[in-house]
Amino acid sequence: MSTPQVLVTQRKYMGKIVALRSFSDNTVVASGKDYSEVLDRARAKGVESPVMVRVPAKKTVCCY
Amino acid sequence: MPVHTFPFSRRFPDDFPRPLLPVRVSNPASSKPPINERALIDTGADCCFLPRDLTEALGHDFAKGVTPESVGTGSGTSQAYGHTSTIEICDSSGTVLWTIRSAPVYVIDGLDQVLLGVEDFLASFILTVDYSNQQFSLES
Repeated sequence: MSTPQVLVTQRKYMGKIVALRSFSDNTVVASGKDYSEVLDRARAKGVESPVMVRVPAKKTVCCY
Repeated sequence: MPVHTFPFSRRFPDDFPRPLLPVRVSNPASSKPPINERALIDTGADCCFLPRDLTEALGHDFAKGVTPESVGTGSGTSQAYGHTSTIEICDSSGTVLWTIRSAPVYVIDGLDQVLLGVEDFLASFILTVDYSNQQFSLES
C-alpha cells in the first residue's frame, strides 16, 4: 500500500495559496492570498518553477 | 506499453487522499514561463479544466476566450471560456511523460483545481485507480 504524500504539512497555510519548491520537495517558499503575487515571490527567491497549491481553509468535501 | 504508477496525494494532513498528477501548464501565445501544479484525475469531467487564477498568471484574458454552450458542474451550470493551453504531465522529478498540446482548455472562475478529464486526456489511457492501496496508474 502506498502512503499518500502530504503536500502542505503545516496548518498555518490553510486557506492560502502556497508555492512549493518542486514536485519532489514540498518546502514552502512563498504563501499568500493572491496567486500571481505568491508565484512572483517564489520566483524572486530564486525558485523559477515552484509548484502552486491552493490549500482549502478547512477540511472540504469536494464535488467537481 | 509503459505504465506509470503514482501515489495518492493530500493537500494538507487530514485531507482526503486524491489521485493528483504533477502537471506543467503553459500558454503557447505568451512568453510567460509555464506554471507547475497538481491536477486531479476526474473521470466525471468531459474534458480538461483550468482555474482562472492560473490562466491569468499565464497571460490569458479570462473573458476573451471561446465560450461553450454551457458547462455543467457539481453546483449547477457555470460560464467557462476556452483558452489555448499546453498541459504537460510529469513524474515526481519533473520529467515530462505526456503532453496535451495547445488544446483549447476551458477555464472556470472559482475552480480551485486543474482537472484532467476524458476528451483530451483520459480517452488516450488505461486508468487504474486502486483506492485500497492509495495509488493509481496510467498506461498509454
